[in-house]
Amino acid sequence: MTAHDDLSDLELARHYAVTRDERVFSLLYGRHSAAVNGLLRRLLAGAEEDVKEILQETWIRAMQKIRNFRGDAKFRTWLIGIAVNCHRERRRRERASVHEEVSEAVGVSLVRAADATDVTECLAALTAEHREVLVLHDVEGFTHEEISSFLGIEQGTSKSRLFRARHAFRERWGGRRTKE
Amino acid sequence: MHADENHETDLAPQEQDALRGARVDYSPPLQIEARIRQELRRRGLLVSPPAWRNWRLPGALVLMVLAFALGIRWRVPLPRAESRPRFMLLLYEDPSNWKGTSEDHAKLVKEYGAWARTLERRGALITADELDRSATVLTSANLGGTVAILEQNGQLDGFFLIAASDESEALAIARTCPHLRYGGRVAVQKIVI
Repeated sequence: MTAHDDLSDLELARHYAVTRDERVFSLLYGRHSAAVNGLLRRLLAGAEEDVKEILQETWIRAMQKIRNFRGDAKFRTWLIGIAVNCHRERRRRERASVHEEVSEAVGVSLVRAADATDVTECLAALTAEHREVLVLHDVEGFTHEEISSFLGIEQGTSKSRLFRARHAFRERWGGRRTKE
Repeated sequence: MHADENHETDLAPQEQDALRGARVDYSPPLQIEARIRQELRRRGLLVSPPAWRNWRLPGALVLMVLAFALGIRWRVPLPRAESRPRFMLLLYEDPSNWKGTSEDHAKLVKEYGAWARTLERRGALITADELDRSATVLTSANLGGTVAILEQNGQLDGFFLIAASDESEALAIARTCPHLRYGGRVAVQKIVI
């Protein structure tokens, strides 16, 4: 128990922005790291090393930019926005690498071959773009307004991606249920 | 955009449940937190409390002794999780016993996640994770090979690292683990250091 335990996230963020106090960081990390880590695991479909690296990048960027957090949204939503951005930047870098694209394609076909036996595998079998919007909307419960802000896209684009993502998910999930 | 796309293809209730059930928080490994702290320090983004503050605890203890001597009751704050003994809860199961569907598995993940959050709220959870069913086993005679691990207690499925005041509290926590309700076994081992 520390003197800061009862402070809100906004109060902690303001305090950290001035002091860089390690104990304040510990409190914020303790409150939110499990949720961000869980989200990244779903977005990255189990690529553990990537999850660790993006989680690290997320916290470093958040602590660097903490003065930008004004409390308009919840701290966790703000933090997840940073995590999603880090994830997208990484994907953009990977797209530049032919090797990575081949690896991703192989991963998808392997999951298909395994008949996507549960939700996690069904999610993993989607394209990264579909998985991203489906996880943010239907798993995490964010609105299209929030998703469009995270991803830097129009709300209409978020909706149409969700439409296609749900179709793709249903194909796999429904196929699995029919076989059972 | 397709006209129907505005309706977002409503999900069936089972699909909604399945997707919501996938929302599970996972505490990251402790090494990651250490790595993040190290990097933040390197970039000048983390400042440890001034050294004089380390005297606050001994100072408080001296005051507490004095207070007891004066007959004043002193409310001692609960110890932080890190300062208490740590225990590893190893979750085993017999894979041949598992007859559930993947939906059942999603419910289990949700239930275990809820239990983990309960531990987190009471300050007992340090970290937890599910383990893959295969592992690479190294011995001096055999330098590799991925095999399914089946120990005497069954298949090792996952672990919870917890902090408790003593072994009896750790056992009491372990007895509430949902794993036991589904025929699994939970081994409780104290961390030595």
